[in-house]
Amino acid sequence: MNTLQKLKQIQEGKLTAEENIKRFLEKINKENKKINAVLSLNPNVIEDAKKIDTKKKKGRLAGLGIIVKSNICVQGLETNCASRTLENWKAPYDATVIEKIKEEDGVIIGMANMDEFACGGSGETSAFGVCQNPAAPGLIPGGSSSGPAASVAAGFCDLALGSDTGGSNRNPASHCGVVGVKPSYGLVSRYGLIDLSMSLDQIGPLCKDVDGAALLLDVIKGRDERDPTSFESKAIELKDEKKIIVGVLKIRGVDPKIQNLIDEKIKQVCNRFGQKTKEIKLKHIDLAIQTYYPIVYTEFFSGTRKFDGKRFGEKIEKSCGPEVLRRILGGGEISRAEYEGRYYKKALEIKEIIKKEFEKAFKEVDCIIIPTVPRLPHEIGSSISAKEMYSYDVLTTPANLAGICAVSVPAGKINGFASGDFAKNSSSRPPAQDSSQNRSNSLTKSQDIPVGLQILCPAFEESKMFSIAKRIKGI
Amino acid sequence: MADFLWKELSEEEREQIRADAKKLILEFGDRIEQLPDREESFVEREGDRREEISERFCSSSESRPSTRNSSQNSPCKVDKKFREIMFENAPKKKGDFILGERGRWVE
Repeated sequence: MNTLQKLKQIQEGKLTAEENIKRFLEKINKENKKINAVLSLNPNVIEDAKKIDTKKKKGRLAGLGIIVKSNICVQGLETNCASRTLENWKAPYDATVIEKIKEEDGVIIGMANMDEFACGGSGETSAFGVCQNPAAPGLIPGGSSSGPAASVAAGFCDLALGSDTGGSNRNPASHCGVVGVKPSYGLVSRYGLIDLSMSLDQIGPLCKDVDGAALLLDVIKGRDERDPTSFESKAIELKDEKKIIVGVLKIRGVDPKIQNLIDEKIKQVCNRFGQKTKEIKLKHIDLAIQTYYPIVYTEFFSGTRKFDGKRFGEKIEKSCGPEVLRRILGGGEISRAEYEGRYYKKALEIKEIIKKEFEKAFKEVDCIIIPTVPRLPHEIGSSISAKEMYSYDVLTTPANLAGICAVSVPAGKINGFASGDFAKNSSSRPPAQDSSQNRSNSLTKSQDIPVGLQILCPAFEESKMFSIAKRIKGI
Repeated sequence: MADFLWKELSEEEREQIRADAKKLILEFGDRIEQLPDREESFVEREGDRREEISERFCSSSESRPSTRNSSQNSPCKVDKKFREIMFENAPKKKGDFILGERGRWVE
């Protein structure tokens, strides 16, 4: 049953919100210890569901269960960004997106695991234990929205909310075999999102199907006076797009197996729907990583000055893990007076160039289709350099830099190797870990690993993006 | 090379991370600095300005704007839970005040 079918059942009274939520809670209680996708549950979740069942006219999300990334404020729930810095910190207010979800009778099930302060692309950096990949045991689920993606893949919820700064929704969506969306910058209010990088962050949905993701995005989007970077926009409507021209972009460093799978999918779509392709080139796209990280490091350093342990939480430099510390120290370095802000300024200039390159390309094509990730997910706990880790972002950061919308949909699976010892890798809120506990001894068995296909569309053309995504996912 | 798993860091590890972070980010910065500078120009843009709707907030210090669209003209709500949770989160408080000060805590 897909999301819209279930919604119809709840609205028609064939399924109650309470039944729906209880099924999810049962699954979470049974399986979350192994997967560690959910960090905490809403203690009032059943009560909230019962209230919805008493309503005659239910909202657009009537009774659907939603899991929220732990950097989005939900009043009264622990919004800890998977960090000891904010351990036990309860959000004093609802983020705008949460207000909107509650107004439409969505039920918040709980808070999801993530990379600490959204600093990561693997799901390994959480202070409360690694999140596992339900679709590829032993391999990273991706990040930083590891918990939301894994929750959807594991069947812990109908919908999930994550945040995407450089691929944080799309990357785990690809590794976990679900749909993950990065909306256009400004489509969704960031009020109540604990920021990683204010000029790049966007809150977006994850779901098993395109319709569910489109529905949730339509609910949460819109101008918010409390976020001056947000805009009003038209309703998201999926329709049968007339013949479209698909832009094909070749980026270096992609695993040939992944590229072949994506190329094959594009061919199938074009044959079935009579679409044309056009190869495009984008200037400076090869500098996306070198442009992205100076912006993120600088803005993250700035955004974390409030975590000084005085009014709440702990001092971040004393309580964070390695990747968060790396970004703070790196950001602090290039923010020093001696550099006069020149790296940040230069990065913003190139960001603007990349944005204009996409605008030029979209005059010739309706969408651009590329892989979501350049290589298959690595084994949890693998030894990897920061540069190698950052290279996962090479295909997702351009959309954030350009401010356009992008979605990852499952494209298929590729046979690869993974650890057979799934249980050994699991943990749930452990104390500081010995990393060897999470690393299995050898690659023991091959498995089919999900791979995502990414569709990029012009800013504020989410309807077109979802329509194309639905078409592709249906093949 | 290291794994990315969370762990508590020793002073040596912190210093190593500091050195690595500086090296990495300067490498990225130097790479993008190789591109020529853009000529700055002042551009008068038509149609890029957004009309700002003025907000009327309550004057009480306890209130905060809860409306997302002020054109709806709904009154500001006082959120008692907000205050409760803020105080619950604070490590040091005294009566109606959260004690947050620079330097060391003064008893």
